[in-house]
Amino acid sequence: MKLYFKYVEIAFKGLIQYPLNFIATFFGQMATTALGFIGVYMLFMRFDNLAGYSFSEVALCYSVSFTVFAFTECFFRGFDRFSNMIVKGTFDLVLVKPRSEILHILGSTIEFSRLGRMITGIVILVLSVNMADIRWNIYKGIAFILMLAGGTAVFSGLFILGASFCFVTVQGIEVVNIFTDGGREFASYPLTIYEKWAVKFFTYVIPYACFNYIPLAFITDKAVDYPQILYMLSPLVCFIFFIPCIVVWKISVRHYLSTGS
Amino acid sequence: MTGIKSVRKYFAVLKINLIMGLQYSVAAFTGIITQFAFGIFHIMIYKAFYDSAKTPPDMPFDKLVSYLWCIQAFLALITIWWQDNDLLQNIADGNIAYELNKPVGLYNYCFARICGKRIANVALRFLPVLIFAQLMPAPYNLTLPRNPVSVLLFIGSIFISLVLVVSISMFLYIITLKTLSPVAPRMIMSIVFDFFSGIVIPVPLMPEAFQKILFYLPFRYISDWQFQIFTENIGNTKAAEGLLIGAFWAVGLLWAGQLLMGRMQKSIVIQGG
Repeated sequence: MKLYFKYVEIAFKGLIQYPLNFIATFFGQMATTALGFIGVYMLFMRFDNLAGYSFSEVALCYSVSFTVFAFTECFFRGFDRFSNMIVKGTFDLVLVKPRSEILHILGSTIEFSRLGRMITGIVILVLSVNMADIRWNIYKGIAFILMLAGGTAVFSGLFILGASFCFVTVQGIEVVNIFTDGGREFASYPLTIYEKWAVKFFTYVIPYACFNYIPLAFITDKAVDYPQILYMLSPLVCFIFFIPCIVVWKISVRHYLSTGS
Repeated sequence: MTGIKSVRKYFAVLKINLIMGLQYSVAAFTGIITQFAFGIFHIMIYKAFYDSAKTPPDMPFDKLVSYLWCIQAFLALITIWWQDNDLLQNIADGNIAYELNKPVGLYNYCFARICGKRIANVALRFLPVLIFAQLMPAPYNLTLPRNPVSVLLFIGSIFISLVLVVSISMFLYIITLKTLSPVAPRMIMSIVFDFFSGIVIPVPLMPEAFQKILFYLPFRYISDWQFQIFTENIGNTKAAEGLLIGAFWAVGLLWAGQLLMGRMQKSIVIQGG
C-alpha cells in the first residue's frame, strides 16, 4: 500500500511540472461533463419527463454514473492504457518487479485531471439529491455508499477485463470501450427506459442496474416489488462481477508468462 | 505561388495522407462497431424521451434516428476534438521547420494534410455505418433522403463541412505554433464546437431561442445543417440559405486563418536543433 502512495506522489509531482496543462485539462473536463448535463437539462425542457422519471431522478442517475466513472478513470487508467504497455514492452519490466503487477499498473497512470469530472459529478449529485426531496435514513445512506462502491467495482472490473484482452489483440480495448464509456452514458439514465433485452443484459451480465437503478429505486421510495433489503444490498452483485474480471486477468498474465517473452 | 501547378502539389499531399489513413482499416472496423453501439444507445435514450412526451417535438422520431446515425457515420469528419496528433507533435518538437524549408505554403500544406486524414477516416467508416443502419429493425433504422435536390444539397454541404472543420482546426495549429502545447486550446475549442454543432444534443432539440442564434454562427454548419438536409427536416430553400451562411463562415475563417498564420510565420520561434 505504501508503494501505491509513492506512485500517487510521483504522479502528482509530474503533474505540477506542467501546471497550465493540468489546469486546462482539469477545468476542461469539468466543463465537458457540465455541458453534457446541460444537454440533458435542455432535453427535459422540451420533453418534460422521461418514462415517468423526473429531471431530479435522472440527474441522480447521471451524476452517480459520471462521478463513479471519473473516479475509476482517475485511478484505474493504467489498465485502460494497458495496450501501450504491451506494445512498448514495459509490461515485461513490471513483471520483473516485486509485488503484484496490478499495483504497478495502477501506479503507472494516475490521471488527476479526471477528478475534474468527478467534481462536476459530485456537484450535480449534491444538487440533484437536494432537488429530489429524498427522505434519508441509515439504510438509504448505506445503499448510497454501496452504489458508489459498486459502480467503481463494475467499471474497474471492465477496465481490467479490457486489459486482459490486450494480450490477444490490441483492438480488444476498443470493444470494451463500448461498455466503459458507453456504459457510463447508458447508466446515466434509469435503466427501465431501455428495451427489455438491454435491461436484462445490463442487470445480469454487466450489472449496471445494481449500482444505478435498483438502489436508486430504494432511495427514492419506488421500491415495491421485492423486499427492501434486496434493493439496498444489490450493489454487492457488482462486487461479484469484479471477481471473474480479476480471474480472467490472472489467467491472461499466467498465459503470457508461460509463452515466454 | 499560384496557378494550377501549385494546386496540384497540394493535391499530392492530400493523396499521400489519404492513402496512409486508409491503411488503418482494422482500427476502422472496431471503430465502426463502437460507433454502432453508441448509435444504438443514443437512439434508445431518445426513444424513451419521445415515448413519454405529451406533445411530440417538431422533429419526427424517424428523422431524429437518421440524424443520430449520420452523427455516428460522419463522426471522424465533424468533431473538432479529433486532430492530427502527428502534426501537433511536429509543431511542439520543432520538426515543423522541415516543412518550412519545402516550397509549400505552410497553411496550405497543413490544410491539405488534415483534409487527407479526415477524408480517409470518414471514407472508411461512413458507408458501412449508413448501410447497416438502414438494415436495423424499425424504428431504429436510417432512412435515406428521397428528394434528389436534397441529395445534391447534402453533398455540397459535406464539402462545406470539411472546409469549415479544417479551417477551424487550423486555428489550433496556429495557436500551437505560439504556445507549443495544444492541450488547453484544443480542450476549449472542442468543448465549444462539439456541443453547439449538435453532437452532444441534436440542435433541433435545443430550445428555440438557442436555435435562432445558432443560425448565424458557424457551429451548426459543421454537422447539424448537413444532417438536417439529409433527413429532409428543413425545406430545400431554407437549406440553401443556411448553406450560404455556412459557406460564408468557411471562406471567412479560411482567409482569417491564412492571414494569422502568415503573421505567425514571421515571428516563429523554432525550439531544438
